[in-house]
Order: sequence, then C-alpha cells, then structure tokens
Amino acid sequence: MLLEVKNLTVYYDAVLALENISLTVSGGEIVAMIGPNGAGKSTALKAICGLLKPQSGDVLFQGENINGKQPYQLVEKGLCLVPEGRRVFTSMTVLENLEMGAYTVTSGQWSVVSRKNRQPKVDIRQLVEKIFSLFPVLNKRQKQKAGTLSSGEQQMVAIGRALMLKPKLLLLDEPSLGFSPNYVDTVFEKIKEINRGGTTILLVEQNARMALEYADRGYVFEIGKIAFEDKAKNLLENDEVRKSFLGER
Amino acid sequence: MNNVFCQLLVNAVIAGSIYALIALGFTVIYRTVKFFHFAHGVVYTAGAYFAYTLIISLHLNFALSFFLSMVLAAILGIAIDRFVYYPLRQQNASNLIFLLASFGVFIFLQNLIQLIYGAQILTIRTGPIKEGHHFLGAVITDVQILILAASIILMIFLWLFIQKTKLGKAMRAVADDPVAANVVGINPERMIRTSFAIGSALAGAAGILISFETNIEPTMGFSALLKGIIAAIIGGIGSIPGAVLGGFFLGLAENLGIWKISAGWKDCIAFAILIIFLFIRPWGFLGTKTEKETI
Repeated sequence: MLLEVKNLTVYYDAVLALENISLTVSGGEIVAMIGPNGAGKSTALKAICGLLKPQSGDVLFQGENINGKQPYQLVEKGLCLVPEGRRVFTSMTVLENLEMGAYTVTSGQWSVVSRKNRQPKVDIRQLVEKIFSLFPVLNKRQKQKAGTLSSGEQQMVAIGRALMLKPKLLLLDEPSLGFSPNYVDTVFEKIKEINRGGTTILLVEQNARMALEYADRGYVFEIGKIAFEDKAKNLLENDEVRKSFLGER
Repeated sequence: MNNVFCQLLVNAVIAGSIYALIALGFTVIYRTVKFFHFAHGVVYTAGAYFAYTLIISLHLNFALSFFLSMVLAAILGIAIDRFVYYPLRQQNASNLIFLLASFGVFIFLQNLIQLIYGAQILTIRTGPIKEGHHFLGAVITDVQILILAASIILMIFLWLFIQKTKLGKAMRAVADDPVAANVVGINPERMIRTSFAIGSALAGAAGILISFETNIEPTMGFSALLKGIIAAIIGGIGSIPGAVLGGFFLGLAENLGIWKISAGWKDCIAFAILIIFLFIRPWGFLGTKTEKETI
C-alpha cells in the first residue's frame, strides 16, 4: 500500500471538517475524491501532505508514519502536492518555476543555479525537457514570467513543477480548475499519461463525472465523511451516487 | 549657489544610501513574513553600538569591527525572530499581534541599550577631523565616500544573491507564494531565518556606517526606521529595487527640499512625500498594483 489514511479527524478552528475518515491508495492507481463543496475532500488532501494538522488519526506513506511532517519534508520521500488555485511563483520565469521543482536535489545553497557551464548533481535540463514534452506550450513560454500566463498555463506550470522529481504519489487539488471547459478532457488525458509514466495519483475534483471516468477508484465525500467508496466504474453506475453527486435525475 | 546645489546633492546621496540600506533590510524581511517588523529600527541602533563596543572598547580595527558588527546584527535579528515571532507563528497570531510585538521588542531593546551604555551621546570618531575632498564644488569626506561605497557594494551583493544563488531564489519563491514554496521542498522557517539574518545585517551595516559619520544615541533608531519604511513604501513595498530607489529618492527630496526652505522641515518633507504617495500611488514606484497589503 502506497498511502494509508487511518481514522483522520480534522478541525478547522472549532469546526469539524473531517470526521474519522480512512482511505487507501495503492501504487499505480488513479484515485479520485469527489463530493460537493465543503465536504472535506480538499481538507483531506491538505491533511495528508501536512499543510493542515489533523486532530487525530494516522497517515502512512510507504508504511512510514508521516504525521506532523510538513509538505517540504515529504518531497524527497516522493510525495508531491499541486495545491489548489495555480500557485506558481509569479515573479519567476516558467523555467525558473520548473527548476524550483527540483529544489531538493540541486547542489549547495550558495551555488549559482541555471548556469550552463555548471555540472549540478542532477541534469535539470533533462528533467525540464520531459515536462516540456508533456506540456509543449510551456516550452514556448519558458522565458516568460509565470504571472503573465493564462490560468490554464499556470496550472500546467504548477503540475510540471511537481513532476520534476517524478514523485511516487502526486496529490492534485482541483487540477481542472482554470482550464476552459473544452480543455478539461485534455487535462485528464495528461493526468492519465502522467499515471502511465509510473506516478500514482490522488486527486480532488469538482468535475466529478470526468474524474470518475479517468480514475480507477473513487471516494465520495459528504459533510466530512466518506459516503461511498468503490471502483470508479461502479460509482458511475450507482444510482444513488448519480442522483446525489453527479447531478442526474 | 551652484556649490550649494552640489553640496546638497552629495548630502542627498549619502543620506539616501543609508535610507536605502535600512529600506532594503526591511523589505527583505517583509517579503517573507509579510508584516512590518518595526524592531528593525533598533537593530540599526544595535549595529552602531556593536561597532562602538568593538572599536572603542575592544580596540579592533575598522574593517574587522564592521564585519563583526554586521554578523552580530544578523544574530540579533535571528534571535528576535526565534524568541518573539516564531512562538507567535506557532499560534497563528494575526498581523496586528506581530506589529505590537515588534513595537514591544523595539522599546525593550532600545531601553536595554540605554541601560548598558547610558542615554548620553557617544562617538566613534577619534582622530582629528580631516578636511574632505573637493569635488565639483562640494566637499565630501573619506567617511562619506566609505558610506557610499559600502552601501553600493552591499546592494550589489544582495542583488546577486537574490537573483543568482539557490538560496536567493528560494527566498524569492517564498516571497511569491509561501505555500507553493513549501510544496516544492523549501523549508519556510529556514527562509524566514535567512531573511532576518540578511535584513538585520543590512540594518546593522547602516547603523555602523552612520556611527562613523555622526554621534550615536539609544533613540537614534526610531527616525531611521521611519525613513526606511517611507523609502520602502514609496519604492513599492516588497520590491528590492524599489527599496533602493525609494531610499535615494527620499534622500534627494529631503536634502534638495531644504535648498529653498529651512532645514527644520526635513522630516516634514519626508512625511509629505509619504502622504502624497499613499494618496496617489500607494503601490509606490515599483510595487504591484494588484497586491492588497495589510500591515
């Protein structure tokens, strides 16, 4: 089991946001967390990677308890989060943003990065090329400040930055947000492609139907609890899920 | 009259470089913590007193004292963060709490300095006063040349550090978006400590340089802090080139302003400029308009 979440309870100030939820993700899967706004799916993702402190419960990554670890401590272990809302480094270029994705493996703190005649511990250029082949539009924009990109392109930068070190588990918070509706398909195609490359994916998505079509398994959240969990295909066929969560009559 | 202008210009540039250093340090810290670190002013004072202790009491040479005083100022900055701000961060304190705490630190340390050194004026200048160099009708002393050169060198170092080194880039990343920096593997606490070290070293350097030029006293930090903050705001809060621009602009405005009106109005000029900027262009010369800043 790659990720195991046991009896997680999270409070936002005094408000109970997640009550005693448990979930698992095995290597190679795409797992979707869906549900209405405020159901706690994003909270779950933040608690898993340490952006939020859970009140109780355990998070195990590759069998190791990662409770109380902050996101920056998990990057080297192979767990990366793409936070909600296209959080790119706006004053840096696309290339610099991607370089920051390899922050934990580049050489010493005082060294000069991104100079061509230097030999860093890892070949950043090669890692960057891989991201460009996944998102060709970023190649054209590499010298542009990330703050000047369209929201979709910024999301690509955020995802590309998280993929620089080829994480074992990628957490995506609302990956389709910011893309125009007719591009959402493409985003999920890319997610599938990333997954085929050997990265396990746990994602939170507003666009429930689309997420379940691409996912292997799904968890349906409802007011701080998991209401359903099943194979994505079964969830799509489950009458109750379709009625309450996929907006069908 | 031309000579007066040249002399005022020299004075303006010297004052401007001190303001710019204070504003730079303030900005470096502001960028990572996003609150107004008022105790920055007392770090400037401490820098001057460190230099006084090393030069007058311990008889160390100027260059070594300068360097050591900057290191001590950096340590003081880190200590303020570690013992005051860090515990507050752990409790998710609001910006207002940080602001009040930074005032508290300012008053506490200023009084501590007064307790140790006394309230009277002290001076580092020991030798006879040498006549300055004549330059385009203006007089500029060795110390003033040192102030200008040292400030410019520090500014260039800071710029190269922020732009080129990995640590500098990580600091820029935290300034842009602390959450995004955290998820790529940057320890935010470490960057906050680094920014306090660098920012405080710059404030210390300004204090040391001014102590070579004028007398020092425990209360010197407050007006320096205000000038530094005004410079940071008119340059564009959070902008590093803006802090330098704001510092020199303020120095010029103050010193050229008193060409025509009495020198007693110097501070008034600074605040008038601040108020004009807050009304017309609150994001300053180089700040970003969209950012909504909270103190």
